[in-house]
Amino acid sequence: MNGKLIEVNGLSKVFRVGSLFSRIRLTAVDNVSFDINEAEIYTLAGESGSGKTTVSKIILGLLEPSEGKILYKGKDTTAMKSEKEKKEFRKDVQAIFQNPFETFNPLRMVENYLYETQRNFIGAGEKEGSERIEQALNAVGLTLDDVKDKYPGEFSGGQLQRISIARALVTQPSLLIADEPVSMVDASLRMAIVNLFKELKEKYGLSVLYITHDLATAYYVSDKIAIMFRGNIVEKGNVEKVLEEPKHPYTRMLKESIAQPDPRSKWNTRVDLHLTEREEYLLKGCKFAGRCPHAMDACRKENVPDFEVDGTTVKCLLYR
Amino acid sequence: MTILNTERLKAYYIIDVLGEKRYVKAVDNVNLEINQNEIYGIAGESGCGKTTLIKTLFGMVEPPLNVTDGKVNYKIGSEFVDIFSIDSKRMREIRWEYVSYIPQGSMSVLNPVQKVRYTFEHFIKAHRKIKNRDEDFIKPVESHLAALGLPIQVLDSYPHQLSGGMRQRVTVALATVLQPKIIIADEPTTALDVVMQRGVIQLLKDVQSSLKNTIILVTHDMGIHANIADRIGIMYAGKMIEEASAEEIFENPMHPYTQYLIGSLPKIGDKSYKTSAPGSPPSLMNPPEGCRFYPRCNRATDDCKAAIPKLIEIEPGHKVACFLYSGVIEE
Repeated sequence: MNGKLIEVNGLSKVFRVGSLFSRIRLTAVDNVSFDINEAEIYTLAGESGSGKTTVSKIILGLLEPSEGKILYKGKDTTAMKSEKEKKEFRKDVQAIFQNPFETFNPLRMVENYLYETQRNFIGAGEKEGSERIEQALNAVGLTLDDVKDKYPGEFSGGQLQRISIARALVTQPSLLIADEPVSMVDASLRMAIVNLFKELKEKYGLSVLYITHDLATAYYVSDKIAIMFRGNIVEKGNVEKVLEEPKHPYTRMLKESIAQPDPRSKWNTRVDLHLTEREEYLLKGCKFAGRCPHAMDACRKENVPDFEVDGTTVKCLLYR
Repeated sequence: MTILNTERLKAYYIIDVLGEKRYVKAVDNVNLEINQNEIYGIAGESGCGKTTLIKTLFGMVEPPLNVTDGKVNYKIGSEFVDIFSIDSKRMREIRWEYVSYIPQGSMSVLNPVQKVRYTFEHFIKAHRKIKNRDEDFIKPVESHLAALGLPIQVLDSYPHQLSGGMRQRVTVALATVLQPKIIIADEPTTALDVVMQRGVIQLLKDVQSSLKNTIILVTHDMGIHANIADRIGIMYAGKMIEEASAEEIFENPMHPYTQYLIGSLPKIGDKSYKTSAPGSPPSLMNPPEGCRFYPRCNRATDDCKAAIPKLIEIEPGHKVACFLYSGVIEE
């Protein structure tokens, strides 16, 4: 039975934007809650400006939440004080970033990153350390000889992304946080990276928080999904349920907007683009009300609670 | 009816390394026939030469890029004009009025310290005489924006005040304001959100159906190609390896690379195992001899190592460069 690995409870983050005189409060993340179990791939999907990266930064401890709690294996990470506890957490939760070309310093040999992570977190001797690194590289389909004495410029984007995954695996973490890991990787190599996540889950029981705007790979790889829009999770549940029969009008529009690689299913309806991001963030009630075909007066007035419908959680008054 | 063609086009980057010349064969022997009133998609991975190809089609060739061989012809009126044999004054006239270009990352091509109106005015002044500002500039621009569904207020905004998608749509409007016969667009939807991508594609389609012109669209996103392109050309390592109608490419891909490319596309509602082509694309500085895909191909034979297959029409309208279908060698 899979236990809960991380619980995110009522997370909020408020940024103040604008000049000194016309300052406004922008709630980038608004009361977000979700759980990730052991050996589970959880997708946080949404467009740019939906707050998904902010959530990942808060989980990693790079930003402080304005409100809410994160329980990792039962411990509150936002209240962690001692360096020892923090280090233990960082060893267990590792990150992979979007652009593999920017992850690595071009003037530094890539193996240094692997050895450095090993030294910082494991502190094993040279020989044992090399074995660990070899294992991590083997898990992503590479060997130590492939990366020895090489600079980032000598690898392709796909290979670099594998190496950055291997770097994360050196500490043998329980959770990987991958922020748009394939968006900069070529189409012909993309599936290899996505398959790697599946493999790591099945072989080592690793959990992955997969942050993406690409619903098609999310559907392919993940177990559960949460759709974010302007700081809110508007719909969450099993990936098949959410993406095959989307309930929230925003999820429906998002799914319809994907360019399906099939010339027989071209877009036949038109989209409406008018409100800007900031205007939508400042809306009261449901942030999607300005574009929603089913919007009611109540949507614009009150904060919309979550409703349980058929196993998924939907933030929409249609399901009241 | 052909509106643009290329003959054995070769565009190489020539780099001088310590007195020794090195060639990056970004476009190597490409023959294209693009028709009037069609949307032609060019697909391929990064580094396959697709951006170099369309830069060359637009005549934007500056060192280190050199056209070492071949021609690019535009059909202007009833005759074909080789754009590399005409003088720069004539080319200046043709550019933007006859053929326009939406560059990659066009969200950042607008002048950040001038209002959008200034950019439009500058652009039109270079091609048309503006006698009466109202008649010759403001009215046509406003009606053009209205036709494309963009608010008139964008003219009085600075680029940073517009969202990425809106800036992209403004550049589309700018590139089409002189009603060109050919529009060349390089990754116009990349770096945009899905909903905004759909908005930009919708706009390009609207422009095409009202002007009845030709769009050459480059993107690596096969979903976009499926939605907009009439015909698709697949590029791999500087060469055109397959060309067919969009339906054919998706339903009956013939080249092993295209088969990998189409087969690896994830779809909602399909959880079957998908895999990528093994290995990674070759360096264009030192591409493999023979077929450039053979090191990654699971059906490669000794023939593939020895010679380069020629792009040959196998079925009506469907061209493939692969020895599985024909033995014709490219000379």
